[in-house]
Amino acid sequence: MVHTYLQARRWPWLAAAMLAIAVVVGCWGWFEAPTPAATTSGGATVQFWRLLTVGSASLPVLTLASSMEALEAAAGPPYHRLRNLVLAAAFALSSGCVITAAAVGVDPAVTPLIGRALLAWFGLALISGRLLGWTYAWILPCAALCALLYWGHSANAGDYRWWEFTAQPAGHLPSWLLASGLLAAGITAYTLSPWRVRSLTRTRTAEAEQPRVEPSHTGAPADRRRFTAFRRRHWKRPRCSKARD
Amino acid sequence: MSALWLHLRASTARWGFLPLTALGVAVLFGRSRFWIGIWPETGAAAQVSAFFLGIFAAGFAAWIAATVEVRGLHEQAAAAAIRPLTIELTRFTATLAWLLAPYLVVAAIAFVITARAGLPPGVGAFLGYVVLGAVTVVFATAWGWLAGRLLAPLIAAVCAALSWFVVLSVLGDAGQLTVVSGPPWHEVRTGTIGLRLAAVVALAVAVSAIGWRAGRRAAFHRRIGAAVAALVGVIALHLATTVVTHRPPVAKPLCVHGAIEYCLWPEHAKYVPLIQALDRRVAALPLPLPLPERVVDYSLSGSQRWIDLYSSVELPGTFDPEFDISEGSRWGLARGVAAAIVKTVAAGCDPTKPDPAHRWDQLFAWLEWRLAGGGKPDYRTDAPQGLQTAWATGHRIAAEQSEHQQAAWAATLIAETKRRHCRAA
Repeated sequence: MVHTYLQARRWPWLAAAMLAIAVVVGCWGWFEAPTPAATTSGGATVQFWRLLTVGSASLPVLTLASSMEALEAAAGPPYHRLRNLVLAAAFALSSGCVITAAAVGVDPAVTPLIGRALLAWFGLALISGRLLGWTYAWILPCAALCALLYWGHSANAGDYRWWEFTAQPAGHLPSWLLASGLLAAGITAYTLSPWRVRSLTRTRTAEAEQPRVEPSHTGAPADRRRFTAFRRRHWKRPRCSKARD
Repeated sequence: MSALWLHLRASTARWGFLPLTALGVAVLFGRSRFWIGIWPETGAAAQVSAFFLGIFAAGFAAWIAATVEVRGLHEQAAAAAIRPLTIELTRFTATLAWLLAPYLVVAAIAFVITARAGLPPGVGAFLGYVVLGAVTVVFATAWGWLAGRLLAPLIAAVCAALSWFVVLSVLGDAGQLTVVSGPPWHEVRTGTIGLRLAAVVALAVAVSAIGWRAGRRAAFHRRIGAAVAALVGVIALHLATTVVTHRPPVAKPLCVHGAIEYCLWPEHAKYVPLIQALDRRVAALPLPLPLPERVVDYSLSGSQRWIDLYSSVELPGTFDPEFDISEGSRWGLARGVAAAIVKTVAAGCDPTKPDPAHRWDQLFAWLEWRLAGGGKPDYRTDAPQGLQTAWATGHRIAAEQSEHQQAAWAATLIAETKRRHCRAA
């Protein structure tokens, strides 16, 4: 099953892309790429190791994309466990590659920064994938990257705003909080599948409707109560409720 | 034409139009507003958005190029009665139209805003910068299309977007794909930009000609080879040509006559009120000072010979002193004119002779504060402590003392400095 799952996602390409990013970071991680920026000079530079982590964190989320997504959503728990497992393993592999490459080719001191950025980008990619579709998981991280590159510089030359989580020093608490917040939001977005959202809203609607069912001397509401009880008992589909994700 | 219309209505890239336009407008206004009223700066500010839009153009183009494979339609596409090149060119054109549209909207907004500010001269440079940005977007789309053809559909978009950024960075300064500002002392070569546009359009045709894998393998590989050769050609052209160069001083600058004669680049017409306000402050100085005859805008005196955009050599001879109204800063202007006045006051003195109290710098700071109209300087400095103390003294005297006291202070300072530190005095 794992093999089929991975093959359907063309895993050699994914692994090759992760490795390619690691190679670029390892060999040219210090390269200062010129970018436009909202500073007094109008320009700034960004090192490749800061820039390319966005790819390392977006690629694992692409394992969730599938051309048979609607069909697969109805699959049982083992499938969803596998899906989670592959996502986690791909993220671990991708992060491992780029962090090792940075530790070897750039400087071991930047690895906590890369780790923090990876968490934040991963969260953003999950949010993006949930909102726009898993194949478009790269869009929100790329948009956030543009914002960081352009507006992330503080008025003091060479300094960064607190939310520039790719550049703040390793001990900077606000950017750690931001990165973990983004990761938490991403994981929440991942767990909030359309099915779960529907089941949550349906429960709430059913609770809200409850008081409106008033006892009456006519037969209809009693029928309705019986029908509701029947629905509760038999329509819950307890096996599937956990199966779907 | 109807096929193009159909693709325009169905292209995935149409969903990007509004968000990308919003991003472009945010980039246009998100840095500063000084470009409003100066055509070359307006063009450059609009062109900056092409840098960011290009990243998304590459990603979207890669995804759209790969959709034939994603949907499993290569066999139907290969069996179509229409020539593959026609199909692909139609798809590419529709994609490019949606990806270029946000940039053109940003450029149109920038145009309207500066045109409303009184139609200053120099609209040609605006068009030059806008076309330079369009070259970037077309290049990015072609790059993305090529990536979409070569890579697996799933990773094509991410890889195209990031690799485009890498290409942009590596070509960066040397290739002059994008610029960050367009001061009037820079000149855009419209002909070279036109040549680059033609080259990237040729690259677009080459990547559209690749077609899909399902056809004959050898032909497919041959067409990929041709597209890669076209790509190498375009990169070589970017590295071999220069689109922005230094502009020689203009024969007829825009001059404002007052206590001093101030000459500006004609494109800087919007700064005339700033100059007039400064001149009123020069005339209102509490003591008569020897003033320079003429001060000129940055790079307008002809005192430097520019080797390239960033390096120059000083020419021998005497030239008019310069000021730099960097991004509409009254402090920048005041510093330039104050330095020119101090130089005139200290004429005949040996500037190399050390003065521990930095008296000329005190005078300079005093003048700077007065000419800027007071307030807090809009720049930061990491000058040595002695200089900073001298500047603080000058600023304090200008801010706190009465006109009479200031005149007396300045007169004493000039006389004393000349007596102590100037041989010629």
